[in-house]
Amino acid sequence: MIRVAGLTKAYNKEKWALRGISFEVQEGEFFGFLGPNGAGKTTAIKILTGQLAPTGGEARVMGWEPWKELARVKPFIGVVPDQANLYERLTLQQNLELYCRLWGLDFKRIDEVLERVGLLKEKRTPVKALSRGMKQRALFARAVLHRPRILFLDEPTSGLDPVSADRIHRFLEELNREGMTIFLTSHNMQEVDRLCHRVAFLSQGIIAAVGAPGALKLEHSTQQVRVLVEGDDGALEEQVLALNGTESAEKIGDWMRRGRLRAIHSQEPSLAEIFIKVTGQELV
Amino acid sequence: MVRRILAIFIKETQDIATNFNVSILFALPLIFAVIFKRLGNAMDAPAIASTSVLLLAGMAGIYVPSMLVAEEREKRTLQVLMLSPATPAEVFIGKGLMTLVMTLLFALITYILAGVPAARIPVLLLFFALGVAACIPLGMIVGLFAPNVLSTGLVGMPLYLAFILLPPFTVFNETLKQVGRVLPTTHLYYVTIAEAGPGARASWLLETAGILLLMCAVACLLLTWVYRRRATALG
Repeated sequence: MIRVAGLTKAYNKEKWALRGISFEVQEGEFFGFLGPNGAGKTTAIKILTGQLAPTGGEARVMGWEPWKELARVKPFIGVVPDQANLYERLTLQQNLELYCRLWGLDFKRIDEVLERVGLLKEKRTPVKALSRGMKQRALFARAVLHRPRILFLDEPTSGLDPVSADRIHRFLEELNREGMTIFLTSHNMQEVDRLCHRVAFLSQGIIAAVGAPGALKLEHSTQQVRVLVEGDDGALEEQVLALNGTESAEKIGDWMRRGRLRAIHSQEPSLAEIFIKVTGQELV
Repeated sequence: MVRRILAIFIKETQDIATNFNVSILFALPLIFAVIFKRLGNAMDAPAIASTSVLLLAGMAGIYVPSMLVAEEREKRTLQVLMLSPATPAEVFIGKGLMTLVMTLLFALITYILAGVPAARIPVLLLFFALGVAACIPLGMIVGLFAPNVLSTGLVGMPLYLAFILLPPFTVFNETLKQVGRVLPTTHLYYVTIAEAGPGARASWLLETAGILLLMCAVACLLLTWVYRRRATALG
């Protein structure tokens, strides 16, 4: 669905947003671009959605170069930008009617998408009267109106409260289960961890690591477990043991037999910790 | 193509009903026409009609499209429109069409209010349409340079002033006359004076229509060129 090879983008001689990134996204995959502000995430999305031409390298969406063949690519892609760019004075219905007319869709589709994002009751409300979370859901409604096969999301839950963000996450999971390929950029590692099948760490225009969140965690794991054990005096004691090995197995087995084991945690690092480890940068 | 232009046109028409900043620009020339009319014999029909349509062409014909384009840029809605099947040309035509239709409607009311003979109104509307069609792309160019709606006033000020204030003064000075010849509002102003009054020679009307058509084509080409040059900056 998406193929990127050696992609570069320079805004001027000194400012390189992308410095030769390569990755592929398969059909039905939920792919995440994790990186701090200024890492090049939005530039990558703009190139993949035909809004910017790259300086070098190759980027193909459905086999086409988006900035050269945007008219061919448009029907297959939906974009949720990082800002709520709806027509504020118009109602939600009028906003979506515009895009129905542009795509040549039946207006019945408006009710379908609004119901899915939980905004059917707000159909006749001017956009300026909607809450931030509602506006964000309205952007999703607009982006999926024409049933695209790939959805590009640029920081879709940035600045939203946890309830609104969770609602959006569930909607995205639903779309992905139905077969939609999703390309997400975020600096929220919990979001990427929860949603993405694979994630790329982008830092200063370079991909530092790519892989499934689980696989990356295992790869960077310290191979240790942290256990909480109840001592003879009833006090809880924390111990760190090797994940594998006879000594660990005997100790844990013994505590389990004696009913002393209170908790056991594998010591996999979080995506944020791995990001810092491989890039030397924080996810801010 | 027609469907998409119509989609933009409908959206703009819906939006204008709630956009006070824009609707006042259509209404102001009409308010001035009422005031001029109430001055009694101080202004006759040609004077009221020509002054009012000059204001309408300058304020609504240039300022409104500049605000419409600047707002799309400021709110980044243009970015999403460009990802829809609509092409930049269709978006600009849809916006321009709404401005043209609205200004024509207000021009019609202005001519009636001014007391222009009914038989002359169709010809005057035709010339008004040609004049405003040449102004609209220039307003859109202002919108492409203005970073937000608020700054359209400042960015386009020289253009608005020249298009509104210069035409009546072109009779006083040869330099002003030469400058005025390149403004569509000058031709519109003098055609209105002639046709709302004693009437004009057919050959002169044809020549003026040709000039306005040419200006319209040049303005459209200029808009296309500027948009292409600024497309990256707009993204």
